[in-house]
Amino acid sequence: MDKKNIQSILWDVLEDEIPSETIKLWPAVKADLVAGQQQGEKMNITRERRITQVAFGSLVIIALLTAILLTPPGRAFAQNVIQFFIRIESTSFELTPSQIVTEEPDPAAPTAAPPAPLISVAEAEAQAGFDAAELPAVPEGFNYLGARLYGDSISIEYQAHGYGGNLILMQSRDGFNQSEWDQVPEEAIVPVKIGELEGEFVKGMFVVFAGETSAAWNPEAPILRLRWMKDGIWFEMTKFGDVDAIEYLDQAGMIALAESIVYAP
Amino acid sequence: MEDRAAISRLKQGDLNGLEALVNRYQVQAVHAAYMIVFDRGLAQDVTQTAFVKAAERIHQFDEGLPFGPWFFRIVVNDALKLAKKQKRNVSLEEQLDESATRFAQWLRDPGSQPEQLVEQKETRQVILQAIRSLPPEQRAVIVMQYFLDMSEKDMSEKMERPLSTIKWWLRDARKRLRNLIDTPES
Repeated sequence: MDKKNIQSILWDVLEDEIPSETIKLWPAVKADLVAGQQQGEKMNITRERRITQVAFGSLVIIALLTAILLTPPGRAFAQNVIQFFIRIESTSFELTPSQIVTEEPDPAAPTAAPPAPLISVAEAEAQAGFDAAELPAVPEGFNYLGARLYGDSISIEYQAHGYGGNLILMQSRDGFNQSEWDQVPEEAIVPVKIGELEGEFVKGMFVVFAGETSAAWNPEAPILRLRWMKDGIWFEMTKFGDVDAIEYLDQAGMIALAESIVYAP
Repeated sequence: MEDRAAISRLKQGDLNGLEALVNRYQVQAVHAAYMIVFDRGLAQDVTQTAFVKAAERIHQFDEGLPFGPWFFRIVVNDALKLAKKQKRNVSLEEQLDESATRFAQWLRDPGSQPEQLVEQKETRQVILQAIRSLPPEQRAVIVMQYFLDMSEKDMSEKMERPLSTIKWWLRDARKRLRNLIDTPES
């Protein structure tokens, strides 16, 4: 039997197992696109914890994300996925009743979900199934914490000296988790270059104040995010907080760090 | 709608473009995934997810290249990861039962006609059983070679393995399968 015969036999065998006419995936694929929005909740829950850590006072961040978020139409999703950040025309969006916070948060209260346990980068790589890029050295003003695994995404984390800030390098083969909390007003997105690579930089994020019925974009929130893609891996570097030890780290500094990542530090 | 037009529309956020690609490639993709994971539901899940990933990454795709190979690499990669997790592969010796041996003998019989034999449901099951008995990586290279017409060089890049490893896998897979379906090495 030659190759064509084997191909023909395999096709017949598989057609017998799963007849072509029974394969109709479009409705499920379309539903998956919408569900992709909900997937973004997981990362935002962890972001919420860090925001609490950097003491945003009365800011109530992403604790609300345990609720199922309304998802925009699939068309809008498809338009947005071709960019690193989801664009939004408005600087606010309405909350669902379950998302509205009536009291100031207790900073000591546990967050909606604890972060994944800290592990070594090697352990994270083994579980995620790909080599993680790392910073060649611990950035000035930070201590190295370790790695965490969220699904197949690896998060390498640093903590500011004296607490009050973090630097997180998240990387994944499957793209960024996206939810409405990851939306960014168009005007807040800064196209940047990481070496020869395209990327996007954002300062600020959507926040919720107690009693408010909508989330509002806060351009002064001390959260800096840089997203880019390299060799099929999606990267997000996020700086939380702005305490003295890490105040120096701005857009240019983060880009310089991003350009310095290596696979064997 | 041609692939290029569908991709162009998808890049503009028009889901009709994705729907056209799903309708065109879903059958081959599910069959390819099934050859690796050997579970109909999982094969469909893998393919669904692959279409979503393709949509998410479509801005990375060079419209000057054919969509199929790019997409099927996602399918094969995800199916392979799943198969490895399942650890469903068992040794050929455990899987080869009496009917498999009989089938191999039929194929070696000059008077037999394989194309007719494989029309028998039992025989088809034997072929699937034989492929299922291979380790996941070898099932993947079988799919890539016989389903997707990929070259060994392409497989090497896709699997991120040296060409020598791919050649060894194919040789070993053929050797195992030859016991059943008498395949000459190409």
